[in-house]
Amino acid sequence: MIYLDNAATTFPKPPEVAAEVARSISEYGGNAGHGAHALALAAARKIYACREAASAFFDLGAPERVVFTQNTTHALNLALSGVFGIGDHILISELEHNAVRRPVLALAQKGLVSVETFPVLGLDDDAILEGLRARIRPDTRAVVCLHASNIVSAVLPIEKIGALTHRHGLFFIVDAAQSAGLYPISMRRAHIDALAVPAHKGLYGIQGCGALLLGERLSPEPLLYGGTGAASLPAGMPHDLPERYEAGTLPLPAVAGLLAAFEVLEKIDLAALAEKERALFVSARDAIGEMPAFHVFAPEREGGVLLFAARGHSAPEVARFLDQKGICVRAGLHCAPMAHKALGTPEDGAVRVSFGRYNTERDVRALLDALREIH
Amino acid sequence: MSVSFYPKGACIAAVGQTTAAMKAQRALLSHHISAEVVSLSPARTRRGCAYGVAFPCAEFAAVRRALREESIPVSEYISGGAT
Repeated sequence: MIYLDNAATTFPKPPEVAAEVARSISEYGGNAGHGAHALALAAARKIYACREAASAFFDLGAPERVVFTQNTTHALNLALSGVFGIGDHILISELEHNAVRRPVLALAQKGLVSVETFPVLGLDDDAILEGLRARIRPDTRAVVCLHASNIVSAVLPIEKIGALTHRHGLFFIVDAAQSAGLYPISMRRAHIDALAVPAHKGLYGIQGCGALLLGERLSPEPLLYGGTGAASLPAGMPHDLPERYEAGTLPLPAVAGLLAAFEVLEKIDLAALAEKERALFVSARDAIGEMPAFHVFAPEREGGVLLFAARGHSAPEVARFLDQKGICVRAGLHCAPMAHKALGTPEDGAVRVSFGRYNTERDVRALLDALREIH
Repeated sequence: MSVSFYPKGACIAAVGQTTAAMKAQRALLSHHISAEVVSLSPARTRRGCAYGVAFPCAEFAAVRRALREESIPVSEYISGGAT
């Protein structure tokens, strides 16, 4: 089996992560924050250690502002909860995933905000910033955008965008679903008010948790109401972070796995990893680009994600053919219809190949051999 | 039979939720002060269950200083382990 769907979820996971998940189930699986016996405290210590690791990795500087969520989508919904008032204007990029597009449009449909997109494709950093700057109005309140696209290898210049939003007093909310664990992110340097990350993609944790890292300026309203294990008598949620946003039991195995994933990341050269994925992309792009049966989208953006369509075959047909050859890729719109529209992909979308930590040139050769059978 | 609920001679800094208690424990340990996360009685806090850190009462001044330095809000200091 050749796995080339790492943008959906990375696979396989490091053995250290799998081992820690297993340990959490068999050795210290108490309910963190819900009790003070030995196993509850062991679980709580593990979860706090993961908050510390996340805070350090993303340069937040405050472990208690690392809020665990179900996933990145949940984190983004939380970041946007109760923050905006009637008449606020929000800027999003043209490449957004539905994790940003839908919650922002839901605010617009409620009559709260207006939403405008800024262009990214075919532009260099300066032109992206210029397009963004030109759209900032007196009523603009926030820029909400992804760091890296989930369908092509576009990476937004978040430090420059953050400097711009900071100068204009705007909130800066970043969807790092595709970049966390692959590209360095400093929340303080990039003036990020909220960073949404998944455990199970570039960080190489498991599915079941994500996190919202909150800067000090942003105080969203809770999305979930319920028990936090302490201060049970008042009707409202506690004001203490992170518990204010963490009603119910936390997914200890996923958080423990994420902690192990951070420990693995400490030993990895992120720049070398990104370069490796870029080299695999270049090999695949150059070869597919020469095959008359295919068209590659945004080939100039080099990174871990390659998007192409087949002439005369639908994207799902191509993905199914590759699946029969033991190659996992994803076809369709990838929950990013706005980005597909901006790229001009066919109605049935395109085929996405996404590389990960464990892919090799051998995987690329197998992909190319299979694609050569398609005419 | 006499039952010991908290370390003998312990004082407790009540901090509220678990994360704050974990952070307080880390802060005290980094100042070489022994600290243990404990739960407090709902009757004591009037807000329901709460967490705190138990520490040797002899370290009271150092604990107060360390928790202030780390910006960890303490709702109450309880002496002698009485909860």
